[in-house]
Amino acid sequence: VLSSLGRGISLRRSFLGEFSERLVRGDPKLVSSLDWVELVPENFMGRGGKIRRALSPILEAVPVSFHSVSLSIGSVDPLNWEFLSQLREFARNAGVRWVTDHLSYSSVNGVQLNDLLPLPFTKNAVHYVAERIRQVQDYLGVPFGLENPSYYKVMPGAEMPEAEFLSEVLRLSDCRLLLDVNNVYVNCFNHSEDPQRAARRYLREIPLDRITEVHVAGHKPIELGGQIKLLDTHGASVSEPVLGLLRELHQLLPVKTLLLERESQVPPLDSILEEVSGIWEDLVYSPQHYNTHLPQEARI
Amino acid sequence: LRELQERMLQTIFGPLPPTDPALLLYRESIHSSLQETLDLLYSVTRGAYEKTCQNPPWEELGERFISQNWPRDIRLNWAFKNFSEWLPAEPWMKELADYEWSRVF
Repeated sequence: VLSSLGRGISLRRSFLGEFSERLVRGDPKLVSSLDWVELVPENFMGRGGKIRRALSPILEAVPVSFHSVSLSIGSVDPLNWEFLSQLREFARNAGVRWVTDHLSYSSVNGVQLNDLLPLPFTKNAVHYVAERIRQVQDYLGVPFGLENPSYYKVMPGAEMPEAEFLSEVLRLSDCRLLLDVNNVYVNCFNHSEDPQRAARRYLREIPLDRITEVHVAGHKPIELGGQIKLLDTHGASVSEPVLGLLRELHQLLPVKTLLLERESQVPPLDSILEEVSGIWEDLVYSPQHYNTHLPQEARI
Repeated sequence: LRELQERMLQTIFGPLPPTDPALLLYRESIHSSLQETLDLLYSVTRGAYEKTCQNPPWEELGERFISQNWPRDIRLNWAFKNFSEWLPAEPWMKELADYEWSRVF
């Protein structure tokens, strides 16, 4: 078990300068409400100038993880070794705790699709993607994990449910899990008749001991084909059902490393700090936090 | 797996909209995202080469876009890399923008 980092947020370029400046001067609100940050490395790799100047003090003072979006681990295209080479160098120089991406694909025949698309839940896909994961984590040389993605369509030919697919991929690749609780809820809402029950079942069917970090984010309801569906937008506060599911996860295994994602309609930094602090305190001051019957290595 | 992914590519970029609402969602989401990205790339490039173009100053436009919505397309990420320094000196950028624009739309 790698992680016990506490509360974190994804570092957005819209508040990078403000974050860096407040960190350098020891702003009490920033320092007291945050333990670590995550960044999308593609946004920063190879960047110099003011972006590098703003990022440097953050990398020195705060635990950092990378959450990339371009790996396309499930694609039938060859792995992008140029990207992986730059990612490895950046990760080493930044001293990251770990690198994560998504259990999905985003390119076909060299065409970038600009979204994270779902894999079919088949044995063939399990073996294919597990082999690529092993190659990537061996190459990167830092702890590596994959996120359970949101998906709006179950690909044809499924031979197993999503939880089993995810579990098998993690087992065969010996890979860590970034569990996105919002994605669990969004997928269960969109693909089952009883989302709460389906989400609870999902949490009990995946290998929680592989979790490196937990994501929460906001989603947006839309009407699609006459039905209400949820879009994984990262553009709103975390919904109450997702917070409920997070509490449920915390009962199963204390959450020690939590990250709030906000990608669109990004509010002021202080609002994000207040939201993640509120979510964290809700967990920390819950009775489950003091649950000591689980061995240390079983905690998230 | 390859057949499935190639079908998705065709679904997203092909001429006919899918009948499955879920796949239509992917198509619209990706088109919208790509259009935003390529629109900027195109505007930036055209703005850099065609001085009569009525775009906002391209550097300001690019910074604003990048701060709000960095594209996931790694190839376009590379295209934006350090653009404020070398974009005007790279004539192939306009060709790339024209090509991308015609290919996707």
